[in-house]
Amino acid sequence: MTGQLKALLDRALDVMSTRIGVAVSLAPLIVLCLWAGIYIQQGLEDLEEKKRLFADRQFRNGFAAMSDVQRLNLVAMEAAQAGQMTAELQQAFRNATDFLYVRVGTLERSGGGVDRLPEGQQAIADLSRVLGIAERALEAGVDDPQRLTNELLDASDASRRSLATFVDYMRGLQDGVLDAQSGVIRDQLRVMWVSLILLTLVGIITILLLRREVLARRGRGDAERRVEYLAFFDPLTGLPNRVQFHDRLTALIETGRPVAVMILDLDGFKSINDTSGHAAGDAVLRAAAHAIDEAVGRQNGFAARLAGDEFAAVVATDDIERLNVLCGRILTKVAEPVCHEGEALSAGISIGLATSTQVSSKMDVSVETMLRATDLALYAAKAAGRNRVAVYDEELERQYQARRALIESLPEALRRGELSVYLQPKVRLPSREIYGFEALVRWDRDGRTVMPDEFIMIAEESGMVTEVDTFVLVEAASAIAAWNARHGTSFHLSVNLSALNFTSQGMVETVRTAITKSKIDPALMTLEITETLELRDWPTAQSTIRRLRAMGCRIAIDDFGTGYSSLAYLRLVGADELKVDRSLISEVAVSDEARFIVDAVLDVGRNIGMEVLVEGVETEEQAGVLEDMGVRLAQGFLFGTPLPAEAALADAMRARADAPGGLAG
Amino acid sequence: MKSDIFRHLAAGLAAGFVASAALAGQPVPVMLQAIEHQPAQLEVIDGTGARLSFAPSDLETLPTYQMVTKTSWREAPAQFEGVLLSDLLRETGLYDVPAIQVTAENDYTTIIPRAAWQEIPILVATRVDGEAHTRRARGPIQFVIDMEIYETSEFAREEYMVWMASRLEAAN
Repeated sequence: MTGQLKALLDRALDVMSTRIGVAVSLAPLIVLCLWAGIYIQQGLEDLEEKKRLFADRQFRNGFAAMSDVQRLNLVAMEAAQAGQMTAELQQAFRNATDFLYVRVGTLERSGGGVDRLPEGQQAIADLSRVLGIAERALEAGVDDPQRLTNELLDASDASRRSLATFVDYMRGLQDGVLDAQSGVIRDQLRVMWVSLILLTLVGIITILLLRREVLARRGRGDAERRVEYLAFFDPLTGLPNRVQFHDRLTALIETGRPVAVMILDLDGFKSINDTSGHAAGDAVLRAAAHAIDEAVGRQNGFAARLAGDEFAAVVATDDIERLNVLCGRILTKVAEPVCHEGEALSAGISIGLATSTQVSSKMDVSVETMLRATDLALYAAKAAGRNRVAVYDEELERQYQARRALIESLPEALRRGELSVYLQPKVRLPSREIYGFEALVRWDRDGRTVMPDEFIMIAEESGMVTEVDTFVLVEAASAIAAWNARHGTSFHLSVNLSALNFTSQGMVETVRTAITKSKIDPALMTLEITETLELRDWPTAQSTIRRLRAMGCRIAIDDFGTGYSSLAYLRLVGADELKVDRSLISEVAVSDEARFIVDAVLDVGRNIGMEVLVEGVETEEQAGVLEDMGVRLAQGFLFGTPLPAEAALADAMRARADAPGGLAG
Repeated sequence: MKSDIFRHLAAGLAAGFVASAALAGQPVPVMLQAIEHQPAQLEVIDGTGARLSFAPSDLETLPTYQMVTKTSWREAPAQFEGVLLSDLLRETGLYDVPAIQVTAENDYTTIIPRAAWQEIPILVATRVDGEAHTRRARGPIQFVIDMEIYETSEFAREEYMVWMASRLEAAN
């Protein structure tokens, strides 16, 4: 109900604050003022008219006239009683006559219009009659006082009645004046109440409108300040944003003073977000921002949040030693666990550092060149294992240029056939029979063989990995299928696919086309997904894996035991084969711990129904230990190095022929 | 010849002074020749309580003034002559009393506060248009206030203009 009233009031105020609303609101006020003015004016005019008629001195003159007449009668009666009009009585009679004369004159010259009233006219006529008797008597010398007295009493009686009527009439007028006065005051009171009520309403509305305007203005001010803040600050951490970072760095560079720029990227932040939620991620971001800002602030520098989990810091120095100390402090501080809802969260941070002095030796110093240099350093820090600082230098610049050259020449290399497929045998233990091959790509670049480690990640970053994977898939499948067809063999084929391909809609069709064209048995085809890569779109990847398995292909998890290994990962992928990474195998002959881990992995694989293949077997000792542990599938230099497809297949055929039992199988 | 010119000039200046003073509503000093008045007495009870009786001719022994004005009962201006109430009260020791009570021959009574005679000129007229004032003309002793002053001054009231005045004393 209160909400409805408020909404109604808001709507009314909205309407009233328009021009039409103001005009409509003012109109009643103007009408009220006019009405009040006219109303009171009419009342006053009415009162004035009554007062003019009443003329209080005429009211008094009525009584005074009675007194004058009585005075005249008394003198006459005294003379009648004395039997003569003495000189003294005659003077008194003359004076009384003069008084009456003046009184009649006063009534006749009334300013209030008494002489026009019938009652007034009658009184004046009766008084004039008395006056006439007195004047005539004076002229005659007042010879008969008794007769004079009789005449005067007779005339006085008539004048008394008419004067009484006149006075009554005047009293009526007096009452009228008093009533009119009361009426005017009542009218004024009424007008005052109406005016007060209306003015109170207008006042309330005005105050409401003013309050509304003040609140709106304050709201606009807050919004403007908020917009201004958001334009230059990151709302989550309170740090300057990219725009302010750019402006301040530009200004600093323009001063010509040495400047160091750091790009800082949280390690494993996505994992925190995915596993502990975005609120936890935000807490980690805020803690990291605080640590960076505090550390950089001590050096009179400033920090900024550029995006997501990426920060930047600027310090006006090129003292690498001092900067390394600063970065070390940040690494230590950021590594401290952050407590969020009872959970301790921690993230590492990788830092790329470059100074204007270093950058200026290669190119002009600008925001863009400084950021490019720090990006290179950050890339190096991440490549070197994360949670560390890397400083931009000439070597990094050289590596960058080399990477750039690789990226730029890769498409051309594909077209010119510089890429080729190598096969490395996979064997069964303990017979060491070659049952299949893993396809590996090599790049013959200007007479030098470039290994996949050097260019696959670049291919992924540059978006060329799908073309490379497709090339390897088609080439290897064709080679194996042709060989199997020609020699009646049934060699398996494993092909590495970038995890990025598993989130690509076209992957399934590419595999289908390769199978169709090469006519390879899908059951012989194993597609390896490298578990070290973080997949961002698990639902799509799982869908792709399901469809590939539905086509008859097998799925293997490659390089298991490194990177982000987890049992959950095994469950999500739903693979057929587990390939244990070489890093676990290298120590297996000499370390109980390594053996224990491999044993555990074998158990896990067996228990969830997966085949387990160990990679990187290089010595007989390793092979022996693994055989003893129950490993049945293996791969490594001990059994064969990667060779061009024809050579690898030929070697495999020879090995089969040399093995007990000949070429059977 | 020369003395005539000076006499005319002096008379003109005097007339101009009188005219300008009259225009401002102020009474103008005037010399009055003795005339016969109607029988009348203004009894004054002075500051000591003594009864003093003033006939119009007795009043005219005080400085006399002339005032040309209309009254509420005269449509045409008349020339009133007489003495100032303030002079009469000063003469009788009543000048500084808070108020006086004036009674007329016909028993009319009014109270006049001190501010009235001290702030505005009130003429106690004994003559009208050069003649002795009569009862039929609201004489023989009549209190007159210049109409212009009456209409503009906050101290002037109609009830102060007493006609046929017969008694004057300090108000209780």
